[in-house]
Amino acid sequence: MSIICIFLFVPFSVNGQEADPDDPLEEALRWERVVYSSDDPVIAQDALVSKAACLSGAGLYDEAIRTLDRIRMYLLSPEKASEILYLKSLYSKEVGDYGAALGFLEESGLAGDNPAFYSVLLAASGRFPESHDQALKAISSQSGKAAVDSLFRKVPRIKKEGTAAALSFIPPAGHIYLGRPWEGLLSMFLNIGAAGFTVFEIVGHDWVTGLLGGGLLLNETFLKGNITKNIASVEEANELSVKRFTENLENLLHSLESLSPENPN
Amino acid sequence: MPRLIHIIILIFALTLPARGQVRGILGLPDRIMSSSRIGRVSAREIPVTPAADTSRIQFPDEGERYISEDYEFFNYLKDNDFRIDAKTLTRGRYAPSDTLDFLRAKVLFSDLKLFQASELFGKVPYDSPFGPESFYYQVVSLSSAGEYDKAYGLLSSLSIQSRFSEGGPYAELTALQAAGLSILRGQEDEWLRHSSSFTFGDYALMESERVISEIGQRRFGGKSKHAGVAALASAVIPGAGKVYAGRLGEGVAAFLTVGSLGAITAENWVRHGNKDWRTILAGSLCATFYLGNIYGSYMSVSIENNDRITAENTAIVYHLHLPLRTVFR
Repeated sequence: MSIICIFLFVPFSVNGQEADPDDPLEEALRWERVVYSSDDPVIAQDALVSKAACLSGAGLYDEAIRTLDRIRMYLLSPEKASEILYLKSLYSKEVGDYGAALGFLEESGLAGDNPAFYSVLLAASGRFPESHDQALKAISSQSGKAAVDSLFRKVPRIKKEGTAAALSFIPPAGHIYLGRPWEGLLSMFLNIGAAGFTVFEIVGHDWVTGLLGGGLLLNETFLKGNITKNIASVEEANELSVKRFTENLENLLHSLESLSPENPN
Repeated sequence: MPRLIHIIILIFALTLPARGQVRGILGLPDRIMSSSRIGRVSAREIPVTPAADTSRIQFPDEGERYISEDYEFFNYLKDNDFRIDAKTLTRGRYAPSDTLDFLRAKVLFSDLKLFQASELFGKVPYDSPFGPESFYYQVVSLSSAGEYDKAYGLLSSLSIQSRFSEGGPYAELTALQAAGLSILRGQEDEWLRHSSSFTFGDYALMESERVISEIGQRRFGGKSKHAGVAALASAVIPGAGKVYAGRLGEGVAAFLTVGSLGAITAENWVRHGNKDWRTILAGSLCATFYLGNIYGSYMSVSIENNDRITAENTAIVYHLHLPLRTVFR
């Protein structure tokens, strides 16, 4: 917030009517009018930052990022540019774009100033060892560090499509690899049934029934229900496990930070 | 007994992936075939037309200043697509004026609040500087909201005819909108009458005239596919109806599935007789998939036609709007 307040000192003249001071959108419009009417690019840049702050206050983080994107970064001092990137990182996280948030934060050079925030963004991107280091930096108490270590012992394993595909040839290994053992068990029984049907019919010299019927069955149970489905699930499983871990980390860091001596409240 | 278990597994395995997606017994086999690897080859996404938001807006009381003082600022906001700012601006305390109604209507139109936009556009008198633009935007608002008859009625009203249609500067624009609306209303004679005024010479209108002419020729030219033909084709050769509907992958999948089940039935018939339960079961499955494919082919063409008409209607409404940006720049 301190960053935002710096820019709120920018003088501006509004040729319009009195704005509702409680309405952040009215306030945002006033800043846009400053951008529109100002001949001074520096004032215009600062007005855009203030407008973004108003939009974020209204929960319109997408619009806030769009506003910050209009800033001509080359006109800013390195310090101000860093602050803008930091704001973009904050807003990007709010809209759930953790990848962009991490990029902006690292580009800003301010990542080290907020290790807890950095740690969460790193975890969301699957960079767990770095996330672990930053989380430890963020926590001062020994019990807190122990809690962080304990959480990072359970980091999710990133699944690979190739491994999932290979293991799917031995039902239910592929399902178990993706953390769905009960579904794997059902798949295994269906595949055994389909294979058994095929063999039984061929042994009984019902060749057409065995080959075509068995082929249709195995297409459903083995190819579609097992291999294809498991490969398609890898990305989803990875996203879900990383998301859960990130949420747990964020909650843990939040609780530890709020209980730390620096933040007694 | 083991064979019975195998058959139960067969039915279960075939129906499991499609569970919860089917709408009826005849839709089930078609779903299974269409969702197969081959069936999905020609699958395509169905365009979704967003519904109009008709919730009401409460405007603040009138104030002292005139919006015309901020007209340039409003245009700056609109041109840069700062919709939230434009909306906030027109929500402010301004004295009532035609300009205010017009700008508020434009904001409502951008927010797809089409009925409210139409109402406000309609408040702007014809002799106001924004009169013609408001009038044509009102037609587009009503068209976008699906009120084709109302929009056409507006265009056809006597006062409008005398103002805009008889050799005036907007005569061809009126003809374009009337021709588009005639297609939307399914009126071939009116479409022919209005489209005969197209000159294809006005830069602002020529592209829209071309599109609307093409759509009209397609719509009224009788070139659309018939669902009955698709069903008949699938009855003769399983999957042929799907191919006719433009879904090659689904057609091949249907042919292979129904053909395989037919072969299994034939084998059981020859080896075990026509009254054997295996023959009856395989035959029943084959018949179900055969009928399901006929039903699916019929529906595919119907859906295809509906999708095409929806896409064309969207294109028509778009081209009723497109020229306005240039004509009233």
